Amino acid sequence: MSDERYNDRVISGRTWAALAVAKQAAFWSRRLHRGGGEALPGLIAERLSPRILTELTETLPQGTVIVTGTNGKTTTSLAMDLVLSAQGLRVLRNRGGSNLTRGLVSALVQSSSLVNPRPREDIALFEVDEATMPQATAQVSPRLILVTNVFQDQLDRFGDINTTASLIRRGIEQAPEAALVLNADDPVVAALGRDRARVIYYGLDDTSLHARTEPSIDTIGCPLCHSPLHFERRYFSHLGHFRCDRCGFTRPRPRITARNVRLGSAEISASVMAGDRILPLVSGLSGLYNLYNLLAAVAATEVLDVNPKSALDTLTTMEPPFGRLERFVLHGRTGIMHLVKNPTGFNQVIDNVSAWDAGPAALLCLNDNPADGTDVSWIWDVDFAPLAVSFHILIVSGTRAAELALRLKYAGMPMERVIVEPDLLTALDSAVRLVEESAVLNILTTYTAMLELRAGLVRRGVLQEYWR
Amino acid sequence: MTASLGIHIFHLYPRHMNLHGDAGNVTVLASRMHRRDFCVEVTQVDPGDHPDLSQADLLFLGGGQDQGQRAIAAHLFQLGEQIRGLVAKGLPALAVSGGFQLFTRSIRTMDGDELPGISVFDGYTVDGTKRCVGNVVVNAAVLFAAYPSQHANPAAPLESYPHTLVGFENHSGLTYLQDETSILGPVIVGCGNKGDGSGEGAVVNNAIGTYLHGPVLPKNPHLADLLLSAALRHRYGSEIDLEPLDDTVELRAHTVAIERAQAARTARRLRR
Repeated sequence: MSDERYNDRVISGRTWAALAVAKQAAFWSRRLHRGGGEALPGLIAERLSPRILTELTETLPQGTVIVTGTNGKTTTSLAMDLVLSAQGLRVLRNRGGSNLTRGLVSALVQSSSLVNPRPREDIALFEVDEATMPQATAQVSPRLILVTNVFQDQLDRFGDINTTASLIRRGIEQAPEAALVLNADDPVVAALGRDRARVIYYGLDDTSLHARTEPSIDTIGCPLCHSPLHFERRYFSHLGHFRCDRCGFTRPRPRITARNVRLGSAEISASVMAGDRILPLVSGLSGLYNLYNLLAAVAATEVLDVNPKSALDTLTTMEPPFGRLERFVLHGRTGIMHLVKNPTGFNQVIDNVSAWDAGPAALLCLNDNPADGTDVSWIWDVDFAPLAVSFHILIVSGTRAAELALRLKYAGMPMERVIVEPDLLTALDSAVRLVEESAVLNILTTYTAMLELRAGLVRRGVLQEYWR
Repeated sequence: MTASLGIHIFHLYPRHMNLHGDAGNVTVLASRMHRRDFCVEVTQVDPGDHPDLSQADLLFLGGGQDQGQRAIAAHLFQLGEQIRGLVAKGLPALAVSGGFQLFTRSIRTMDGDELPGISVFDGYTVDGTKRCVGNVVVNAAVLFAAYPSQHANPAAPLESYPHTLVGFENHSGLTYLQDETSILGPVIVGCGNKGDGSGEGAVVNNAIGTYLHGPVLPKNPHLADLLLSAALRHRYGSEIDLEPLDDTVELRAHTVAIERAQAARTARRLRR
């Protein structure tokens, strides 16, 4: 790549010093096993050199891409990473859910050396927390911003959908040069593209799909005039083909779209229309939400000059990322962990496992630590009824297992078919024993419960440690 | 034996005011009546409707975002006088969070606008500088002591139910009540109406306002039954006993919510 062009970007002495200290911190944090060492180096480096994020990202020959939105950030970033890497690009990503600015700095710190403080990679692909967007684009000038969707999520942090949308909008407005890649089917996201020069939309164009679970509570008004939106077709939650009869705001025409969608237990197939071409999509992921993630990655990488055919070829072999659909074998049974973070994601996972993996038992884990959202009221916006039909026993676990049991009671699940076991690993062991050998145990879990389950499985040698 | 008895719940603005699963409250009210063989009718009221509130035995208004509050405030204001009159005659009501704010005299929002409230509770709401977010535990002993007939059935003595209320608060608006309006109870954990950890909620006759969501009724079955007893009394003019229900799951969730609230408070103090 044209590294020479970027050699005139000056790394200040202050940033160099910050890098040196942060690298020490990262080293000792790992040495002392204080977790993945993700946030701390970034936090220290940011304090010591407030311009470090700007200085280091400016040296990247292919610039920076930001992925934000409520659901699908990690899966979409991983998909883009695979596609870009297959083109021979070296991609820098922030990992482990570290999507505040310190997580971005940590990734950069890890990638630079003190001899040559410029990151080794060609392009940075940053997942950015929605609320962090204003801080992120104040420091980084991305060439592309991708917004996946805006759902209700961890309300104790953000307030509401409108608050989230306005934070993303502020972030986007600070990056007037950036190309936007937006989900056409999400009215809140689609509205972000108005008055922008370079916008690419992606969406679904399938007439046969309809959501099995009830739409979640994310029913929203027109993002422009607040009157009710009319949906000609709704895929799930508020994603679909919409139109406002009052102000005329309507779903933009997507450049990348999918038809003939077929969903299976671990399978998605569809015909992707990219401009005037029709291309086959085959994936080992599952769920409509992952189809959106794949389309997002195809649309975004096309903006980065990868043709959609190559992108789709690469994505055929994609494995799901950390904690999303992770598989392991315990006592001869296969466990599948599904990360659930908000009503829409939860409904989608319930939809999937109830349709394909009905069986004797499933495990549901609800924690209320800050990373999960301390307000558990969101589970009242989840439709649990399909689980009660598809599974004989539901084991509930985590810090709010009791709340989950109560929720299931109101979803029509007889309480004699619910086992409450707050301790996650004990619950996992009981759950595994309930499914037949060679059968699948589905585990629907919030973030910190997933980390705890994972740590337990690592101790037992069932799973590999995640951070390298 | 009670098959012919029932109540009529009016659910105000379910499409505009349903944050944090608040519709779950109506599910709980209906379910607790059905399990006791009472009939329940639920009428949903939207802006533009002309509801016959004289038919109501219980009103419910959930929380909403600023946008939702703005969309319904004018319509609610038109019903205000009638609602105040009915509440004075004992009509029970539950107004949560943004709904609670609309049951005060006025709301001054973040943008400095003033929304008119319906003055069921004598007080006003202004926008505070910081958001009150977290688990809440309220000591509602006084409230439950004032309704001794709530669990008249000896099989479910009042003592078996806690005198606490649990839930989650998330509000930047602060509500200041006049002295005569009594609060739901003093806050044990949390911010409460004024954000200062003093009092939470409001009570006038059988109308209850609260910042607790979660939703509030599933984990507080004793509060649900208090409202249902009042609804039956309003409808039939006499005491009708509510048979006890198996609330094991409900009370376990209640207890865990208290534990989690206390754990979070301890963690906050240690951090300081």
